[in-house]
Amino acid sequence: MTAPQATSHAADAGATESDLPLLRSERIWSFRRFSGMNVTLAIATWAFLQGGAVALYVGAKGAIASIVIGYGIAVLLVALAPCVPTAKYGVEMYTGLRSVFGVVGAKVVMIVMTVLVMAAWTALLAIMVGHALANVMDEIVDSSFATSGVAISVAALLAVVLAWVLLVGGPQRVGKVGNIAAPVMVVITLGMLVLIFDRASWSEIASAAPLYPMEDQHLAFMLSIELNVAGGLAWYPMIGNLARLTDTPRASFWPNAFGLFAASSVAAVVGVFAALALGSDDPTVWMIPLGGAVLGVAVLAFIAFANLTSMVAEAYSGISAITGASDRLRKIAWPVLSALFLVPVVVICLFPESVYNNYGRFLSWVAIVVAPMCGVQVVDYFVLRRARLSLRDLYLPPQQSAYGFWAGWNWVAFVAVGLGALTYVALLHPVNYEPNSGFQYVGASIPALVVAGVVHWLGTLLVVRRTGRGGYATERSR
Amino acid sequence: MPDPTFDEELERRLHLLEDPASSDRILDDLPARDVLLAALGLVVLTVVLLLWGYPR
Repeated sequence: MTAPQATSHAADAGATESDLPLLRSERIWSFRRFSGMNVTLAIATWAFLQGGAVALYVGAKGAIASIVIGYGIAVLLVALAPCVPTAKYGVEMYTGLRSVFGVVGAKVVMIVMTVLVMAAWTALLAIMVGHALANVMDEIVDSSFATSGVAISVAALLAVVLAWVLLVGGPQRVGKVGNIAAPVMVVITLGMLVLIFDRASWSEIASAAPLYPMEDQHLAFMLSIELNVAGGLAWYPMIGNLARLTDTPRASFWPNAFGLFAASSVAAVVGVFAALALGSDDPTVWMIPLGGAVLGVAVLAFIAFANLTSMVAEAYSGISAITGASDRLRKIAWPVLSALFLVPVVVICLFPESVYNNYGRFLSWVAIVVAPMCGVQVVDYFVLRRARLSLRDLYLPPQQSAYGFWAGWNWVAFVAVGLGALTYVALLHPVNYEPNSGFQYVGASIPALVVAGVVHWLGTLLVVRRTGRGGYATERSR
Repeated sequence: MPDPTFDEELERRLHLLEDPASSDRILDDLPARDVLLAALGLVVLTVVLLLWGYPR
């Protein structure tokens, strides 16, 4: 194979769609464009769903405080890791995680995160499209599709097919769709705010009780904070591969403050107001009472379309990760790989209420894994490696790479994540969502993140570095 | 099984990214003051919102 053919291969495959490290000249997202993409992601209907869930526990003022605090903490963390390292080195996020979990271990992490977490998020969005379309049909033809699981599944599957069509176009097409959807979603969110305050005054909304009020208001507030920290951390599996496409370090960091933090907070707060004013936590049932039949149907239809943008971005990020798992996967054509990624999404869409009606628990399951991972990566990259990676070693086989650790696995990082997960479970039961002693002071995600980070730091100093593994000594001396 | 085409392209990219004189080198570090500014802003926002919005 000649060098020109090699270059042609990369161009044909699209470096942005493989796990090859991106050059500066290939970064397609400036500060402004990544901000736009970030806002688009943030003002999807999942922010409204988040607001609806928060309104279960606290009233308007507590909701605003808990959303801003919870999202603020979580988004700052995910803006640091994975965004900063993926943007600096242009590496696919899970390829970068080889420096943390080992060359082989990172592939297992990638498969778990991609297949379970990212597919579940994509499915959640598709199911929301299904709910939105079912409500539209009910209004137009006076049917009762919104209460039919089969109808919602069919509409969700239609959304999955449309997402696949958009995915085949690659990340540039995602950006084009985002350019259309983002400004309209901003208008819709602000329009909802106007319509809500047309129905109720601030004092009425501020005095409205939560949908399921708890006797212990402090505990309710902490549950709300936890819900929002988990909601913010849930961006971890996907945002790194989007930040990878940015062209400056600041472009990878600050747009998260505008989108994932500020825009998400505004949309979630609007969701809280709507839920409190209308007495329902389901965003797809708010629009018609708020806007009337014609406007409500139009908004629901547009929200279904806008959700497609988020589905495509989520799926794109997951598929980018999959291509890094093996040479065999890398050779699969992009359209086929996209279709394969969507298979678990299709399966989840067949059981629409399992995710949609258990949003808080779903977030809890995501946070159990993601919070410790985020803590481990922040400590590994910023504290132990002082923001220095060996790019070449990320791509070497375990026996040659500084990131080989023990046959390709860094057990210390896995133990740290495991102990972090146990900390979470000890503080908040992930199945029944019952808090245990201590939760009322510290929540669950942040302690899980801190425990994992500290265990990884100590384990690396006491075990990994002493045995000369992981390339830590080399990177510190650079 | 290794993909020689991929490996050649990877080598070309690593060479460009690792060369400090290349216009396609890795990006610079995020300035520490950006992180400090973000963290400080978050602390201030948190204190203000707790004083205003904590349920009583």
